[in-house]
Amino acid sequence: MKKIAVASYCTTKFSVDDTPIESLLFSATKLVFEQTKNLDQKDVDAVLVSTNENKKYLSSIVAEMSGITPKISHSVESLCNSGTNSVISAYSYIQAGLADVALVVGAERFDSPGQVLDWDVSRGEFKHPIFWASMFTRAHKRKFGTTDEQLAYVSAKNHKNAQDNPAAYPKHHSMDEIMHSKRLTDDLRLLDCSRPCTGSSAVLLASEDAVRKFTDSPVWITGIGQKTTSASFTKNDLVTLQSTADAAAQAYTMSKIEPSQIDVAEIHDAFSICELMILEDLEIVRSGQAGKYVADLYNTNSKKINPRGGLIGSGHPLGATGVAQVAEIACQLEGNAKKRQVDGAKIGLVQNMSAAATSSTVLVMRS
Amino acid sequence: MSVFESELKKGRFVVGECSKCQKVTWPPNDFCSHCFGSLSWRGIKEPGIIVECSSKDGRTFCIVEFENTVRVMGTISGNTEPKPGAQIRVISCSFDDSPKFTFGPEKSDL
Repeated sequence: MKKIAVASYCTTKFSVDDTPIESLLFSATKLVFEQTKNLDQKDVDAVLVSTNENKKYLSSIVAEMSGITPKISHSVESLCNSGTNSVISAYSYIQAGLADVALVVGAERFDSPGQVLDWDVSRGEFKHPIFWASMFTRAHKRKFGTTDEQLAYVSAKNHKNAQDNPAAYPKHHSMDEIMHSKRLTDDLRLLDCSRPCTGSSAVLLASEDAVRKFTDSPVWITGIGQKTTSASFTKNDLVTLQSTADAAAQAYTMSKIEPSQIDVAEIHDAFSICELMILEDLEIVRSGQAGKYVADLYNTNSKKINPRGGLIGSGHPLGATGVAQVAEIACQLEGNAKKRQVDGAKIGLVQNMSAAATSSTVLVMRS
Repeated sequence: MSVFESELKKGRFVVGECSKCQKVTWPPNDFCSHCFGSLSWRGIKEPGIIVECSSKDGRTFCIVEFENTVRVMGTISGNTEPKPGAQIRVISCSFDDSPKFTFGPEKSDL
């Protein structure tokens, strides 16, 4: 196996602005070129675009407007984990020898058509994600005694972390505000939810031979796991995200690490309950222990989990989210995360998922 | 419109059973998801079992499982105290952009 690294990355500021998807893609691409030493358009063999936007040929449009004439150019759509699917596609092209350098650009608008999976008839009339999140929450409460206060700690921690993330959607909420935010259902408050927003992010991947031209501190992708269990929410076990557990096991094996070795992680907290379930299914904590663990992270100001603020703290531009997660872990492992930095971080993890965790991606990265 | 949707519109909750392997395919499909065999459509076998529930604005919504296979979300009618594991029946169903199911208690529980 070739060694493949993140050579460069960037994330634009998340907002709820009415910005065309093309402009979002262009701005992240421009930023990568401005921030990467020695990067020339001729170096880029592949341009992959991650988005749920219903527009055609975006990767070739990005390539043309950026002066790139790549061998490979296409879009990737997989709802909320489009971003990490794109990164893995780019990795695979390099691993296969079809590319040496690949640019992945993810973007989404606040009004993305990817927010609701209309296809899933098993949800009946309850199509919106707040309903599956309510089911997960009630089941977790029932089995493990998880409390509303523990759930609020997830959101409070991630909002607190996002204050040190210049790309985050600028909205801070305290523990008290979260606890008293509007009840959407008996088991879900407004501030238990991440917010769809507008934003973009990009990462440049390169082979070991190519990467030194662009950086002296590459961050290696050493473990990859993916699993799709279904597309229908109701097939889930309601207290286990099986696709995440399976993807994590693959990524740990490939990277030859144990969960206890992870120094920093960006995980897919679409709702507060998701962060608790993910921590348990990644085996960072035992089943039923995540509520207490996250409260401890909050009370000790630890930034180990979701240092950029996750989806709840930063906002959730679907196609950009997975890319922004990879960008954050690369930044952490380079030691460049400033106030968000987890001291001495050497091994990082990204967990990204779609449609109530019917599919998941896990990446392990090392400095 | 699929068989599932058109039957639902008439108030009938049907599922496809494979003529080859006899397994039920869920969600509804044009062929058996297990062996690609052809499906014949029949009514769901009741009762179902409540898997989980929550509520919004006083209206209880839940996941109900039928035949150990078919899980679907709907509302629970009346003042039924929904408990996971309890048996439940389809009171009404329809289709209008999306499937709509209303569940109620077994007659013996009334």
